[in-house]
Amino acid sequence: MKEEKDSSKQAPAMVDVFLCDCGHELSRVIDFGQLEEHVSNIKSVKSVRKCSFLCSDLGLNELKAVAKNGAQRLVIAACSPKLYEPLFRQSLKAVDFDPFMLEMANIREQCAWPNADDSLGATEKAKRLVEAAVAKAQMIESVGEQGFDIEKAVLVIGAGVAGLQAAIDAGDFGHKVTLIEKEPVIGGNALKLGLAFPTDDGAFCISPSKLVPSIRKCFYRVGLLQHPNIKVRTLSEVEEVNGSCGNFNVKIMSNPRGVDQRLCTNCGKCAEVCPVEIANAFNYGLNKRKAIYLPHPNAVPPVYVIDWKSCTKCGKCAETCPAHAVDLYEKSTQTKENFGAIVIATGFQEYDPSGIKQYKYSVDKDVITQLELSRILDPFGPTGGQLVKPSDGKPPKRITMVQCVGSRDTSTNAYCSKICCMVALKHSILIKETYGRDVEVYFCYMDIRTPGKGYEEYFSRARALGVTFIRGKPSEIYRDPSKNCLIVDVEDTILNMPLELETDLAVLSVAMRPTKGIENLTKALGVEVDCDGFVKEVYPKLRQTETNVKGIYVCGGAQAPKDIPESVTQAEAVAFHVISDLSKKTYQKSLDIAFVKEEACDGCKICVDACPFDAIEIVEVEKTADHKSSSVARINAIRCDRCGTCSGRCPTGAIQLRRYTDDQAMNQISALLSPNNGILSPKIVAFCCDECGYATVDLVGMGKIKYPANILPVRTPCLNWISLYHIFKTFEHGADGVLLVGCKIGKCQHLNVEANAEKTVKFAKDIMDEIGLNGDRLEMISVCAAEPTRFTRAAESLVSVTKKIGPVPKNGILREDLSKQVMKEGS
Amino acid sequence: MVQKAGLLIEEPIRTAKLNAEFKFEIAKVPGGETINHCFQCGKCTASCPIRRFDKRYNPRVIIRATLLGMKDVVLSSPIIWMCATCYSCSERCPQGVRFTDIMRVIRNMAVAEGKVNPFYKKTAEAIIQFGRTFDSPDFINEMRCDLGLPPVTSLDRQEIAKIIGELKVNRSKESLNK
Repeated sequence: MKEEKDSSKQAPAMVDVFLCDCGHELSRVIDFGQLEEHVSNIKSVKSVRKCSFLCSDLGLNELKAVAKNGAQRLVIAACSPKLYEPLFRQSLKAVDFDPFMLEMANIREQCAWPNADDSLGATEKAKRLVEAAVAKAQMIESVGEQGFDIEKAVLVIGAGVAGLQAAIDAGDFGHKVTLIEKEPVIGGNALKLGLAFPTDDGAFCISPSKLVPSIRKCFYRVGLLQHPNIKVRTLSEVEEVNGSCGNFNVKIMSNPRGVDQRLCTNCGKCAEVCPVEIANAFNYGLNKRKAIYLPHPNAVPPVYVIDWKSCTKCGKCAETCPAHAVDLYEKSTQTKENFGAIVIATGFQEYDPSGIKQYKYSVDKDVITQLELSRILDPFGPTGGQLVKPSDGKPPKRITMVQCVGSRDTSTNAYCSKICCMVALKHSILIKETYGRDVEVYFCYMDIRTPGKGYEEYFSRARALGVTFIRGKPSEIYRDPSKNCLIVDVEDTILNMPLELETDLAVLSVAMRPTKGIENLTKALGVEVDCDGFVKEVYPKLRQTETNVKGIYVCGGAQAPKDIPESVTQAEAVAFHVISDLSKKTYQKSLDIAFVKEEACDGCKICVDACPFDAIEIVEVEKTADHKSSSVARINAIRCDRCGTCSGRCPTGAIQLRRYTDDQAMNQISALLSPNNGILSPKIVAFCCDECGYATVDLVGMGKIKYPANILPVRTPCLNWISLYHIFKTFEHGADGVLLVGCKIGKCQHLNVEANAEKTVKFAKDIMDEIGLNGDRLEMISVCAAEPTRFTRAAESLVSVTKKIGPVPKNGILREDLSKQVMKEGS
Repeated sequence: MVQKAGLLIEEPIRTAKLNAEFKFEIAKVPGGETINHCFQCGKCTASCPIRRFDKRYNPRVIIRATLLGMKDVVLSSPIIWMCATCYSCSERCPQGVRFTDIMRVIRNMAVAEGKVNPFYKKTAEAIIQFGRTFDSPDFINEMRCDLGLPPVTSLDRQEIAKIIGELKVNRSKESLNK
């Protein structure tokens, strides 16, 4: 990382200023004569130009002319930078002027419009905003761009419904795909599910590949192995990941199958002679299998596999195999490969309900889960599709579905697992349609949740078929030995009466959990997980498939509980991301990101833990001052998302965000708050985060909603960038109050669920109370842009509170050394 | 035993004592086909005018008990005779449950089992006897005369007896006389 240029040693940059009055719209409120005079008197201002429509062709030409004519820095005082800054930057780029040398002062949405009834205040505020922009512009540096090469290959982790879909889409497009699966067969849970809603056809049927069309039918899925662009690796897991977007270096570990995939003809003679017989885990122990086995007749690859834990290496299979495919001493293999993008599609597993003692799962054999029922109902399953009780193999007369086992329960998983209602309805219908009135189906639920196209119809069908729905969550399931059946105790909450349900088979609709092992995988990838262990998306509403690490995507059950249609849709979205990422030659990124002043860095790692994007690592370097090796932080330029959280938390100020360094920001604040001529008293600095905070204040202005001119908005990165230093320095420069305006907690684009800014504010308030400054001068609000009145209420209230408290005492309370001490304590 | 909306139910409800076939018996009879569609939203009860006069009356609970298989409880309850057949429930049901028609099926089943409300028994007897729910008393003809209307024609009771015979309501008649 480049070292920060010491701007104080160079001659201060001169600034050319444009004052746009938006076709006399702004001059109705702001006295542009006064404003022009004030700005021309600023020492570092070279020229001031008044104009009417800078965004018009005429205006842009004028801007270009000035830029070409030896301008160093430009300030445009006009509308919100969110509207035309990109246009201005483009125009500047067109005449080879560094677009980053432009700073804007928002005197329309954040001054003339919301302060239209206070001409005096608005004019003074406009002066302050322009002066602050000039101060900032003086100090901004050129940041440049960097290109990163992109490896044209993608790794898909997990070959369930989602992983298969993503792999096929990316492979069909022409990218090289490596699809790894930790099980010996692909298909994930879909292979166990039998039939799927909402189509009542095979769960394992997936979209056809354009290159190998036959694979739509599950039993022809083996065609996938012949896909020219997809390499399937079963029994494989990710061991280690290095690098970042465009070039991930991944160590993949493949466990031995014991049977050569190219030779095995799937004849099954090996299993016939194998003397070891154990419970078949694929079918939840409902039947037995040999130590060498094929998990499912539809298995892909259609190749036997040795269960090394139970194999005695007697050698009978190897002797018998007519193709000589068995290798009892096959070793595991490790490879290192490079990928431009990674897709997490590790899916889900059922929650183990053994912990919910009252339901007797794993105590009574006739208490099973929905996936176990799927296996029983599958014609290729352990009972050949015959509905029987696991305890005695006899057909049950009464079956009870128990919903929300381990879901919507704060002692297990608080969330709704989303698919269980539909799975249980599908099974109820399947049973009723096959066995009619020979089997009674009871359905204990709290709410039936069927939001989806064609889903509610399942509920209607189940009722029409005579499934008895009982609204209530069972308290207990136990065996009545006299009747040799299970009793389900439940309250019929519709009649408000306790109900004793006699049943032969109890089926628990258990929660969906992320697959075991996802902790290690996400740790290796540097990907964040949410409080339930699912992979955390960047933004739940709009960026569901992106993770905190650029270039790593997530789809399917790994992100949240979801059904097959939704997993497929998400996988297709991920394939789009991957295709678009890999289609570029290089990934270009402008380097207005965090950087480290290595002399000041202690290598304390606070930034490493704070960074939501896993973009900082600690490296050993030799410092130029004393030639001793020491640990310092280093920024990964691709991963950095410019939120500034690292800078806000750094105790020494060593880590800074380009264009928002402490020096730049404080130079701007100092200009914003001086001189103190009393017109805008009390002065409130409103730090607005670049996402919803700034947008909210803009929207207030666009709606011409009024708030006092005393509020001086300052555009900042994410509020987590704010440190105690910024807050106290702002008071030192003469602010009477500070308002922080940020996104909704936990809904921040920068993934900052931890709400560091809130902690900083709370801590700052305590200190302010302690030193007699009064913590009420500091306020923080979390808003979305659609809540303008929350901002105006907070603004008005803070102005009246600071008026009541009075001005900040001038002598002594905020000495330089005190704020330094405060900084130390704060970190 | 607990009173629920005019139904006398044993607590706790034991599925072993319920008749799972009850709802299918009703669904078999024309008019009763829609019983299984109910999902207990309560719009029927909220729409019912009878409920305004008697808080016990609750169509939703009658369906609930029926779907659970409480055949004896439902058929012996006096509450099933309160429906005024206004059809508000059937009109408004979001699942197309024809509750008024189901009520008729249930009443017929009750009658078949000899469980009939005395008032209905009297009415039925009057129809068999007079061909009307009541024999036209003189005051009606006086009122008709005042309004300039001709008096009520007398009925051919033999014809009516024949119709009732053809309609095969004999079984019900026997039940009525039990």
